[in-house]
Amino acid sequence: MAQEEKNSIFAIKIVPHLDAAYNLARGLARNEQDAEDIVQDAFIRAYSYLDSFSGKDGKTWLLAIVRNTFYSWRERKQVRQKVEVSDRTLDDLFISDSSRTPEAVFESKDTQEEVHKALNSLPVEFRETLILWEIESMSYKEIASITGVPMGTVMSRLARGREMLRTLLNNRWKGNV
Amino acid sequence: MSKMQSQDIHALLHPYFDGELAYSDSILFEEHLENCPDCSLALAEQQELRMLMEGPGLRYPAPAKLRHNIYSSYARNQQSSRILIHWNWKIYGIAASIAIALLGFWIVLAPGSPSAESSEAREIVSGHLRSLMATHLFDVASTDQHTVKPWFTGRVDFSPVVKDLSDRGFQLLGGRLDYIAGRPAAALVYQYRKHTINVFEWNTGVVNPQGEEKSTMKGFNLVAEWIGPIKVWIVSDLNTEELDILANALR
Repeated sequence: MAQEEKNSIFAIKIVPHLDAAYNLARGLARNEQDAEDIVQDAFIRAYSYLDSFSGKDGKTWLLAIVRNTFYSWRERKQVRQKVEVSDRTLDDLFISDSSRTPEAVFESKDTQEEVHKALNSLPVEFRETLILWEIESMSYKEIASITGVPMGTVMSRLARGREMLRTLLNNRWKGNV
Repeated sequence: MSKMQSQDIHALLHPYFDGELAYSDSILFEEHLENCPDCSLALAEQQELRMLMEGPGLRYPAPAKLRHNIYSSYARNQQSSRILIHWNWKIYGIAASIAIALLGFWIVLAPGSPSAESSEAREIVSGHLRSLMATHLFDVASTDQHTVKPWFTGRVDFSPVVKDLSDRGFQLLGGRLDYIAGRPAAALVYQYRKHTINVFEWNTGVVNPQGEEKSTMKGFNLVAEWIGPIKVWIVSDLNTEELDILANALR
């Protein structure tokens, strides 16, 4: 591919998905700085692999790279520190709070914070599937392509991930509502 | 799928909820739904969960720093005619690392060595295109000059010229930090009828006697002028006369 062509494809098809890339990296790494590093790294990879890009679906292609970058980053990190953050108990993740009405639940910032924490506490395969579906509005097929699993697995991960989320949030709110 | 087991049909709940079922399976599931209070309840619960996930709390736009690193990297590379993707970015700094030439690079690439002025114009056009294509027009979106102007404090080393010119048809939309030739520049976005105008301003550090410059590139018109040490480039697909009106109004 000629240099100029490469640059313009990159600018037009890949760079516009920066927000989506960051969102996914942030959801996977659960940390701002790591997400930035992962995205930077992913863009370098994307540029160097651009010859393998079919030219069709830049978002799916880029997000698959972001995901792979995250996994290799995590591997390196785990070698260094062995323990993963998700070992904290779920109770630690939730702020204690008393009376709230169901109406207030949807609106409040705390609620979003709690949903965020609940999502963050899910195992990574459920987390990534939910982020791609609910936040990035990718189709089952696109998610299957990004995460490298069959569509049936995407479907069951969504179902399972949602159940886990609901259980976490219900446990959290039941006593207080 | 006509002889579907009840267990199997329950598995359709999520894809049904997500609108990912084939039509025939949707019909099948809807028939089931009429007689299955459990599934109705489950659907309502899923709806509730989805509402919880719809807030902005789970959505993160890329931070401005990251965006700038990625967008501005082309500026550092423009002197060289190839991209050095093997640089160790941790050492050479973030901008060099990304080695994303972006469209700007593509435009800047020209035979021979362009004069400083025309290469500046090229950067302005690529900055304009970048802002339109990447849907990143603003870091601060406001029609109020008193909101936009102070936003730049601490972000650029001068006080940019920001004016409310709505009475003349130029509606201020917002501003963002951009990079022109590796220097931080204030980019102000105005709208005139349906046309988007980028006004790039940066501090050259010298008071330059040069007057107005005009240029046309890739179908865009550019007008440059100096306000003290501040160089102002106006770029849009508007014609030069209209850009002149804006240039005069800003002065």
